[in-house]
Amino acid sequence: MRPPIRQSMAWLHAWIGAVAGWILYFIFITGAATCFSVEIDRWMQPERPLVSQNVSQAQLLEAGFRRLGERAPNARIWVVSVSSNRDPSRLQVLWREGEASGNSRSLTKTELLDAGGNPIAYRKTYGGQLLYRMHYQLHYIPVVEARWIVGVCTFLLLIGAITGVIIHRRIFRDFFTLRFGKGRRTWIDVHNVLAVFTLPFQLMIAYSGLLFFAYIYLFPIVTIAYGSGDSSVRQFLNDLSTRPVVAGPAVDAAVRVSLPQIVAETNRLWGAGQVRYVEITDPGRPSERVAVSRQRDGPFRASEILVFDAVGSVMGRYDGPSSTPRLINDIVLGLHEAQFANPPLRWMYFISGVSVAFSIAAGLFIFFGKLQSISFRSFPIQQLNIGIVAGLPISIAIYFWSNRIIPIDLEQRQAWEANSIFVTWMLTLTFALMRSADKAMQNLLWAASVAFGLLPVINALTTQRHLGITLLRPDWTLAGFDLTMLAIGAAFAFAAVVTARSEAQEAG
Amino acid sequence: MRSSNARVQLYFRAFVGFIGGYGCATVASALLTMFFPVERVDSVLSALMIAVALYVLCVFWAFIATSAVWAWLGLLLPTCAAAALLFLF
Repeated sequence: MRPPIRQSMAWLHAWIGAVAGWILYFIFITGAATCFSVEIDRWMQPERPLVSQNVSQAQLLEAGFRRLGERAPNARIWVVSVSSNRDPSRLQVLWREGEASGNSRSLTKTELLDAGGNPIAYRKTYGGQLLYRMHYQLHYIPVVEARWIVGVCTFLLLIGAITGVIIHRRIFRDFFTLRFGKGRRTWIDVHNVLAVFTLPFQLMIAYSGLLFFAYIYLFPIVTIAYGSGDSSVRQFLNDLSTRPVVAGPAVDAAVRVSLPQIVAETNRLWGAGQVRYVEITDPGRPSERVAVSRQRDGPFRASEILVFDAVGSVMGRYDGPSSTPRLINDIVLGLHEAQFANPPLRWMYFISGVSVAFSIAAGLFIFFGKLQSISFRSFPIQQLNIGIVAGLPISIAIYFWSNRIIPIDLEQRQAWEANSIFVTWMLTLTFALMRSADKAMQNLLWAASVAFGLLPVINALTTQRHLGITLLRPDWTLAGFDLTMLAIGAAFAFAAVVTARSEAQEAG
Repeated sequence: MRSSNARVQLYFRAFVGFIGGYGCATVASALLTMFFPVERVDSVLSALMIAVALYVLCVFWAFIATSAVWAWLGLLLPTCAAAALLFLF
């Protein structure tokens, strides 16, 4: 005796939405923001200089080597990192004193430098990288548990998307149906249009997202092949690692080659401007090893690596995945992260991610609307939903506000920037619970519009990186951020007006 | 409103699909890729990639199976068979 297929698919679809909806909404909003995490980093560190076009990568690398030579001549590991395709003037150096193989993060020091190699004193912030990390390991929750929660929800998304397609009777005709002012019918149409439009994206993103930690979620497979325990997982990751294993004799100090010369040799082999970072182990000593990693311009997640010894001869290399499964794995993960994407493609990822988030939001609105009238007559559950869904964008806008407002010398200011997201979210939730559903929606949409729209103004009042300066340079990364905030503010205002009119139409 | 019998069916099939499906997908993929002539890391990667898709199919199987018992057996039997084969090799 089997329940009718459409009924069981609809039941499953609704249950999955209820269980995983809010978390998936959070994942897609923070994930979409991650498309621009590097750009957000720059905006949140306004002390960094404006973009300058005429500094070559070789010059930046040389400035980095010089700075490390002055600042940390006795360190065991040096790293000079540039990121030409996203942020042409970025120059970061890291170094670690003490044992080269130690794992302690606190021994690693880092600085951001300008084009001349001088350190920039910038405010402590997690920047866009916080949104990236929260997207797969949430916040406040221990990392392992958080990744499991995200993994389960991602799998539920896969099931949910497919059940959605199955229950959708007239999927092609309905794709062109978007009726306004019909209350629940409108929300269903919005949900369907956005979900169908982004269906391939959803399937790709969810499947590839699962692969990142699949070896944890599907641990029996690793156990069957490698045995149980932490050491077997480490062995698996080691086998997967693309780090060239280099061992070799120390060389005669008299024929040493300088780091700029190694960069020149790399440019000869790869072309100019292809370096992503240079990692030097035991700098200045006979056992020096220089690993150069290449920029990513294709979907392979792991980039090519060349390892030089102190006399400048190549002694190890990684040229790309060495087997078909690793090739496929690299491509699939690379498609998820889209590190290689040029600006138009990056915007497409962003728009797709936000569309999926809105589709989930519409679904949640439908679900809780039904639930409110059936089960929760005395508890404002639809307002709870509105507070959570509308509250997240407001909270992210406040995260950017907090970067400009929290005092620069406050201890742990970056933790407080992160806290501001969740404090705001709690406040919007509480606010929504106290209002009627319609009013809560209106008020929060307008609040979001103001929060995003005023951001460029706050920027102008607190820094020297506002539109008046960045449009004149032009520094399109910084100007683009402010302009995008204005556009998002306008979009929320439009949404507020449309929903108000829709409700009036429905009531009248 | 849905009858309580139908509701029990749905909960049961969901449980079977998600729990039984996990076992079936992981063990069956591990078995499948054991016979690929590749390095261990590659067979694990392949198994992981296949297992995700297989798990999705198992969940749908649990709802499509013609009876609740068949939903359960359809996942349990392959799991046991694959586990036995893996144990033998």
